[in-house]
Amino acid sequence: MKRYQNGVWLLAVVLLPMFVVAGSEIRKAAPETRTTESAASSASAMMIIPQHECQFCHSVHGGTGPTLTRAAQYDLLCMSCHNPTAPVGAAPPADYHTEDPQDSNEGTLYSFQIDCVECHVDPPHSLVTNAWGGTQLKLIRDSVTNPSNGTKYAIRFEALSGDYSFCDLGGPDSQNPDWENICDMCHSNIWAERHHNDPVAGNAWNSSNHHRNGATCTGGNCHNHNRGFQLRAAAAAGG
Amino acid sequence: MTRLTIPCRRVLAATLLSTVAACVGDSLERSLDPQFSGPRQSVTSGDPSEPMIRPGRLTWAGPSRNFLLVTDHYRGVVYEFKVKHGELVPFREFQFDAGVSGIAWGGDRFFVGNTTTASVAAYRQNGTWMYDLGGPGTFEYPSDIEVDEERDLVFVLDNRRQSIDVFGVNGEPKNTWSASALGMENPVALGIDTVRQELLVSDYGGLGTGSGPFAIHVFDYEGNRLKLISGKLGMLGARFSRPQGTTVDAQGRILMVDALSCELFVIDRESGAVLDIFGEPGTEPGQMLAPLDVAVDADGRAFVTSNRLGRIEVFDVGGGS
Repeated sequence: MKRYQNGVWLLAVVLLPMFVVAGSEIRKAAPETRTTESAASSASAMMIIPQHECQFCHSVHGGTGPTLTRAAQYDLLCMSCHNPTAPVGAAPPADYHTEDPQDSNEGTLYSFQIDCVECHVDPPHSLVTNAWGGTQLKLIRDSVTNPSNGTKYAIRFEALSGDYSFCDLGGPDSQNPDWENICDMCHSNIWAERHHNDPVAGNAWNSSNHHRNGATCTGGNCHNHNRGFQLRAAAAAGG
Repeated sequence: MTRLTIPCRRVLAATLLSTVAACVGDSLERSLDPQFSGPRQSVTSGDPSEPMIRPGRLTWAGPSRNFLLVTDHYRGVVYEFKVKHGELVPFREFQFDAGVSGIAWGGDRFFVGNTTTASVAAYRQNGTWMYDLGGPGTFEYPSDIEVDEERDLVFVLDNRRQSIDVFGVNGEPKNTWSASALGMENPVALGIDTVRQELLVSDYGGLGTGSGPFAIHVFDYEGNRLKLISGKLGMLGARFSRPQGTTVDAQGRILMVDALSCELFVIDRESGAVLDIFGEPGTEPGQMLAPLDVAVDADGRAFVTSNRLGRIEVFDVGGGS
């Protein structure tokens, strides 16, 4: 009997933390607490978004990651659904932000690679409210570290174009030093800096120091996320 | 678990990374029909030494099925390899717009889906455009294709529209099945068993929410579900959870890759039992990151696209004819 009781306690000690973790997320995922980007508010910031149900990534039995995730690597979890070849449902297809892989001599290893969670919240459970009370789109972090200089910047990403978007350098609050845009926090407003001191001679865009302020950088034929933000050849040719 | 590899694999990895496109320049085909215009027009690839970047779907091709076609959605390229004694020899590449996805061979042509142009088109083996399947608006995100040329059937999975469109090999529409009507939630990839005349559909299900299991559905060519091989294991566990490309080997076993566990599963078609597992996550030979499709030859060599690593892994899964 004693051995049996010890066994029960041992089981409880082992399993309880797992259920606490799982249980808390299940409660967050209750239908009445779910929210969407359009209904976002600071009050809803801690609620699980319906696009990321707990069980998509976590498994109580067989989860191999540190929080019972189905994979130990975050990027595998993300890319298993946000895969450009076969995204699941409406999951936006995406690829890593690297140097142009076509410039890489090694094929698989790049001089830099910015993983998903460096720009997107980790874990991607809920909407993010930035320091100004705005809701970050696309689960972008409220602050992101510039991999080049190690500086952490507060980010406002509240729109896909115009002010508070990818690079709204002309907006009314654009010179505020307290925050940055998600793209120009690294790729600043100078054409040459955005393009690694390698301006394209003869390219009409080169005449502007501000490239395409307020544009949806990832839209159209330009810096699509599903190509790691690399400029598509058609766009480079003026397409 | 037994993991076997054929001797050529190390050679293959190096080959793919360094010489894929180096060999293609002379024989590069960019045969485009004048009608093939607008956003679907090809762009110039530029540097011919560019490596494979993001291999996605693949299919056997050629009258003797001794060529392998592999799509690369990142580069917008279809690579053609000649397969000699298990070795992949780069043969040529076809340059499309970015977004090439599904691919399948049937008769004297291959079919390519393109998610950028939301279209599926047929090409001769030399790359000459023949015709589009469907019309404008037929597809939104054609992610995989399978063909049974003897029965004059082309299946196209659109995983945004959540549907499977059925055409004749010459492009005449035959049927459209909605995923929900077939009992699926998130179908992502196709496979075909032309011997049994069955279509395999990999389904992410409800992604573990319980509304639908991760599964491989087996349908007859009329859309009747014959079998459901669930990835669920017991109450809450999973033996596979992100089923992607499937195929059937000479023994009738189902081969399937899991994009999350990075494993190649060999599954008994009748019982659904997992007979063997190959591969694991990682970057070393024999390891994969986000495998998306598999093709197997008559000798039991399975060729798997390792999407994130930009290479193809080859496993000896046995079961040769």
